[in-house]
Amino acid sequence: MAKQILRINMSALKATYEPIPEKWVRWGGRGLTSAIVFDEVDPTCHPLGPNNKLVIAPGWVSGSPAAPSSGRTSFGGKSPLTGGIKEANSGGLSSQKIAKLGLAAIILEGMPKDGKWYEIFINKDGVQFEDAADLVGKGMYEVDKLMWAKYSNKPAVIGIGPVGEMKLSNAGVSVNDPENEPGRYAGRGGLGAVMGARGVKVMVVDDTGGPGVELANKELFTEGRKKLTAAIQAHDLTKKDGGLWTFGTNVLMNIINEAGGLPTRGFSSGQFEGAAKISGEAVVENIEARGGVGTKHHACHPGCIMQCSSIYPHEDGTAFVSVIEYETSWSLGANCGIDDIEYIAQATWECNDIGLDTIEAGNAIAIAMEGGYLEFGDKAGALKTFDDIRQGTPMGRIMGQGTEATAKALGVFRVPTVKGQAMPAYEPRAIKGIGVTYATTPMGADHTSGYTIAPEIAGVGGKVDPLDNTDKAGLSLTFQAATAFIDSTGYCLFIAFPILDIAEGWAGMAESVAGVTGIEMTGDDVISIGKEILKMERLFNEAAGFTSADDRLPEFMREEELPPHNVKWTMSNEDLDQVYAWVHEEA
Amino acid sequence: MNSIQVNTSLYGPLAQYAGGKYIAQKSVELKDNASIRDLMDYFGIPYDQKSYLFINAVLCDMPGLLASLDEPLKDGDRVGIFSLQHMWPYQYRDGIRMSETLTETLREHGTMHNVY
Repeated sequence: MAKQILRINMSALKATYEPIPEKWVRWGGRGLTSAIVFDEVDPTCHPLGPNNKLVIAPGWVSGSPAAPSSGRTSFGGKSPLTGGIKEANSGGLSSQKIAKLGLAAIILEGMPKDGKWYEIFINKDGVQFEDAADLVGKGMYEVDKLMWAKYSNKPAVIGIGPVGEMKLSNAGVSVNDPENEPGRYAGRGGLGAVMGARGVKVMVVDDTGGPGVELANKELFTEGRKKLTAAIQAHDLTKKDGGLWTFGTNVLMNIINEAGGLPTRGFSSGQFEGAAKISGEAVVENIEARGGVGTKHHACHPGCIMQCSSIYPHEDGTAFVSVIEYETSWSLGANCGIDDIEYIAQATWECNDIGLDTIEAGNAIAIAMEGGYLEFGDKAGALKTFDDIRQGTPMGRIMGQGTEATAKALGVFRVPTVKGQAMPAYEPRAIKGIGVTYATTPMGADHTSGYTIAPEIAGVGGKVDPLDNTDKAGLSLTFQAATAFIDSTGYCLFIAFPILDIAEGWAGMAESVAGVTGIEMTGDDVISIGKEILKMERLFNEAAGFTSADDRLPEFMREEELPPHNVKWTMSNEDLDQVYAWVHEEA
Repeated sequence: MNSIQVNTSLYGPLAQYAGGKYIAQKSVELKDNASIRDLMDYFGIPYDQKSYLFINAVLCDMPGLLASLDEPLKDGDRVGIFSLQHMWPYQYRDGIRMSETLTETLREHGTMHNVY
């Protein structure tokens, strides 16, 4: 059975199943969400208005048998935070279940004429719409539990918290994990507000009895996924007892801090004296000491063999929160001058519950501290902001709009954003390579937009000297293109680590995609396919009004020296403009 | 003979060499003109068990390399030593400050890798 597009029109409360148009048939995941947004969303529309759409797409290989770590769901639309195209992806249960229902994508469009909130249930028999009035105002921990109590077969629950209901620009889309907790977020860019603007509080997906995922070439798929699996299991970063397995993503806290690249107290320093206390090492020490349901190795979606997630327990061993990512611990901790891991666990829980992206939330709090509304290090004040946001107080709504809105309200000019989106946990003045990606990616400042890839594997071997600063533009483009491809596969982006060093894994990734889809491709095609995706995204942004002036880091980073290295951002505008010059140069 | 104080952080299983579990931070007294080799010998850390190593926020070594052993230390230096279980993807270290010795060592290896 060929895959279909499920179009849900909230204006008419009608669902239709459509064959995939030829122009979209070769896309999955991010490639598909961006293609649909590019084709169907007016770049000049208001993100919260009737002409924006939320597109949800599992990756190419999601739902296929034994594809390792392949449970990523892409969410796309025009971002209320950046005003440009957005793809944010999440782990959790949704990707494989949507794929196994035979769906390449779900397009959520229109707005309910009655102004009501809706709960949508999707299974093999079709789509049901229910009044969600009883769910309005509830946090995602409660919503997830209610949905599993109501529906059988442990379905995927895609929902928004109160922040999405208020249509604030830092609203994420929550997806439940295998334990039915809401720690998995398509967090960045405010797509939760786009979902809220469609009048949808929650979508429940049950794949029971669905057609499953057909393999176009089972032999090729099996060969490819075995190569990829072997690479993941062999590499020091992703194997059992490797870096991700042992300490999770927060393994980076102490390293980035030692390097002088940890943004601290509102990007005013590159080292935080309390970093060790909020690091992955500290988290694991507590997990081991407390026992109970706490675990260092947790799969955020079925079939993940890297298991970089964890469950952080209370002191009595009961579940507290999953998961304290590096970005989360940094944004809510070091960036706010707070070195208390229990506070960070609570703040993470609050973000998960009300539906905030933790990176943007921590940056907004740091701006509030910079602006004198709070003091750096004020844990109680920081936690109170979540109450304010949940209750929709005036200041809560401002902070729920994100970093730039908070800065404007408080008269702060040191605003660490690009295209309206706050920077993640890597100081571009100290780690210059990532600054190029922050500046130029169509997504706004995003650490996942240009991921690690081995130049020799990506087909640019011999052209890139890792110690040469002159070709960071070309390197960033290669990173961004490879990332756009991986974001389309359904594989977790962390497969980038092993396939950097193991060429067989790189080839296996492409072969597994070819095996599922029947699209002819090898590892040599990855960058060119990724560039096609980037081109759509870039052209959408240009049509929305973006220019090269939007591909810049904040002014203060050019003027203020960052300790301990006392460096400024020095990349020239001409070099930055080279990253996407090819869009209009290539036919 | 004069001595120097070196503020040392050991991360991951290496912390056990300084009485910690996964984090140990200690100020260590070493002889004047001591090197990283002397510091690791002080704790009894096998050289092949270290991965990333920093002196005063300058990256001096990588997993699988031994580029830092002869780096001299001075009074008040801050040293961070990581275990082989740590990870630092290329993108997140592209452009950071490195020692001259490590720079030359990486140049000999030619291409970028997560692990050497």
